[in-house]
Amino acid sequence: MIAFVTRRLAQALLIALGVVTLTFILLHAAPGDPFAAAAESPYLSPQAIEQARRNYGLDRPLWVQYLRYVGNLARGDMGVSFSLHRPVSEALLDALPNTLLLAAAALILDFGLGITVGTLQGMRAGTRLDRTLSIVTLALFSTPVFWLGLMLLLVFSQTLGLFPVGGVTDPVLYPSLSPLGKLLDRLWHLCLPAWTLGLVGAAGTARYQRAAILEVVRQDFIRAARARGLSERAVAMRHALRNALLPTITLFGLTFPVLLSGAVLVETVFSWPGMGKLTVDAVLRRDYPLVLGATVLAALMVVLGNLLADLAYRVADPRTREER
Amino acid sequence: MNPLLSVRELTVGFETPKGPVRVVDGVSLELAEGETLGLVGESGSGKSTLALSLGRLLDEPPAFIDPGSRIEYAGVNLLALDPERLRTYRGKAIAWIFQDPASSLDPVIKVGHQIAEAVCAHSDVGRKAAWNRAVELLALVGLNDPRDAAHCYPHQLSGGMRQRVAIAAALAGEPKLLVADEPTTALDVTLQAQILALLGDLRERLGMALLLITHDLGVVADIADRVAVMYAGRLVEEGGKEQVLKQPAHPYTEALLRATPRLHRTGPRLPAIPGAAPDPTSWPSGCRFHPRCRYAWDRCSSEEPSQLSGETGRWVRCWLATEPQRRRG
Ligand SMILES: Nc1ncnc2c1ncn2[C@@H]1O[C@H](COP(=O)(O)OP(=O)(O)OP(=O)(O)O)[C@@H](O)[C@H]1O
Ligand code: SF4
Ligand SMILES: [Mg+2]
Repeated sequence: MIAFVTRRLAQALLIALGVVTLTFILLHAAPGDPFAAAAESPYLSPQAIEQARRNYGLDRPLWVQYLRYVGNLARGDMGVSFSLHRPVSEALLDALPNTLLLAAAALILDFGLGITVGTLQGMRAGTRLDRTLSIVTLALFSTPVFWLGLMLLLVFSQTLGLFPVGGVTDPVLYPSLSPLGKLLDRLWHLCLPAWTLGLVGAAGTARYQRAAILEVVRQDFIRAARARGLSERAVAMRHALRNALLPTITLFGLTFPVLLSGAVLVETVFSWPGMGKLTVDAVLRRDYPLVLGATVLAALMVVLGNLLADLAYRVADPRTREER
Repeated sequence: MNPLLSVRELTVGFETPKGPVRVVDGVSLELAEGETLGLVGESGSGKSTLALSLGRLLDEPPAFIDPGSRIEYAGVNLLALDPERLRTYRGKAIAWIFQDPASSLDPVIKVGHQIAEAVCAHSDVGRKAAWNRAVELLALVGLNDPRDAAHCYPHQLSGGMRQRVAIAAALAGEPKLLVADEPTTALDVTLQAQILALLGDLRERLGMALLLITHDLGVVADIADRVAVMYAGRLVEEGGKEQVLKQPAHPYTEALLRATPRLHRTGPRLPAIPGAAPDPTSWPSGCRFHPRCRYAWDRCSSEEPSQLSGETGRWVRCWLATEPQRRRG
C-alpha cells in the first residue's frame, strides 16, 4: 500500500511537470502578451513598458524563462501575479477554499443523488419510474452547465428571489451576522452553484450506477441470495448496491477533472471567487505566473482525486486488497 | 401421506425475439419427505429452468410460468403466493445450490456474513448468534477451520471449499428440500465425490429431501432413490433408481446409460448420443426424441406418447411400451 502511494505520488510530480511544460508552451504560442494592452496606452512610454518586461524577465529567451520558472516552482515559489501584484500562491490560497467548498458540495449532491436514483432505476429496470427517470437524467446530462446555471439563476434568484444572485457571502450583512448566521449565509450562497454543478454530475452518475446495477443483478450470486430467502431490500442494499459501487468509485476519479472544469463555468456565472474564476481572469489578462500556478494546482488536485479513488477502490474490493 | 413437493403440469418458457419458447412443458413430479430424486437430462433439456421455477427465481419477464401450472409445497400452491410470502419459503422450505460455487457467492462480502444474513432472514436472532450459527454450519459442511473460514472472502477459498460454503448458506434456513442443480459439474473428479458424499450425508442427518439435478447418471446411481429423466422439456421416464438404471424403458435413457462408461461396462461405449439436441423454438412433432431414436417408426413422428405406466411410480413416455416386440438388441 505504501509503495503504491509513493509510486503514485512520484507519478503525480511527473504529471505536474508535464502540465507545466505544456501550459508554458501554449501560453507563449497563443497570440497576445501581458503588456499588449499597456502598449496602446497613451500614458505609458515604450521605455517604461520595456522596463516592466525586463523586471518580469520577459525579455529573456523562452527556455531561460522556462527553466527559471520550474526551478522556482521546485522551491515552492510560484512567482508574482502580473495583474494582481501579489504572490501567486497567496492568490491561489485565497481562491482554493471557495472552489473546494463548491466542489465538495457538488460531489456530495452528485454521488448522493446519482447513486440513489441509479440504484432505484436499476432495481426497477423497465418500469415507468425507470423510464421517466432515464429521460430526466439524459436531458440533464446533456444540459450545458452554464446554461443550467443561468436558468436556475433566472428562476430562483431573479424571478422568485429565493437565492442570492452570486458571491460567497452577503457583502453588506455578513460582517454583522452571528456565527450561525454566517454559516447559514454561506450555505445559502452555496446552494445554486452547488446544485448547478451537482445536478449535471448526478445525472451522469445515475446513468452509470443504473448500468452498474443491471450488470450486477444478472449475476448468479444475486439469484443465489434471493434463493436463500433474503428480502428484495437486503438483496438490493447489501449485494447489488455494494458490488455496483465498485465501478462507480472509479468514476469518482474521472468526475473530479470534470467537476473542476465545470467549476470554471459555474464560478463565472455565479461570480464565485474560486480557482475557476481566478484562472479565467488570469488567462484573459495573460497573467502567465497566475495561469501556470492555477494549472499546476488543478493538475495536482486531479491526480490526488484519482489517487483517492484508487485507494477507495482497494479498500472496497477485497480481491485487490492483498496485492501490493 | 401427502408429498412434500408436488409439481403439476408445470410449463415454463421464455419470451424470445422469435416468440415464446416452452422450455419446460407440462412436467409433473412428486417428492416425499426425506426422499432423493435424481433428475437427469442432457444440456438444454430444461433442468435448471425447472429447478429455478420451483421458487420463481427466474426473471419474469423474459421467463413466464403457464397459469395452469401448480407447484405445491406441503399443500400450499407456491405460484399463488405474493412475493413476500414466497420469500419466506425460499431458503426455509426449499433451498438451492447451483453449479458454479464461485459465482453463487458475493465476491465482496465475507462468507460468514453471507451465511449469517441467510440465518437472519429466517429467524429472529441477533448478529452475534447468527454469526455463531454460520460458524456451526461451516463446521457441519466439513470445513476444517470454520472460525477462520468465516472471515474469508470467496476468492480466498478453493473451489471445493466455496461449494461447501454455498451448501452451508443453503442450509441456513433449515430447508426441508434441497434442490442441487449440477452441484459438482464445475469441480474436478475427486472433489465431485467428496461433495456428493457430503450431500448424501447431510440429507440423512438433517432428514431433507433432495432434488439432485445432473446430466451424469453415475451421480444418480450413487445417491438417488428415484430417477426422472428429462428430454426436450418433458419428463420421459420415471421410476426407482434400480429399475431405471437396470431396465431403462425409454430409448433416451438407454442411450444415456450407454454413454455413461461407469455404469455400462459391457457392450459398445458411445461417447454421446448421436444427433443434436433439439431446438426449443421448434420441438420435433410426435415423440420429441424420434429424430434421434434408433427404434422410431412412423407413429412416433405423428403422435406423442402419453405417460404410459407400468407398476406404481414407474412410467415411460414411449410407444414401445405398447409394442415391446419392436425393441431389439
Ligand atoms: N433467459 C432465457 N431466454 C431464452 N431462453 C432461455 C433462457 N434461459 C434458458 N433458456 C433456454 O432454455 C433451455 C433450457 O435451459 P436450461 O438451462 O433449463 O437447461 P439445462 O437442462 O439446465 O441445461 P444445462 O445442463 O446446460 O444446465 C435452453 O435451450 C436455453 O437456451
Ligand atoms: S416413442 Fe418412438 S421415437 Fe419416441 S422414444 Fe419411443 S420409440 Fe423412440
Ligand atoms: Mg442447467
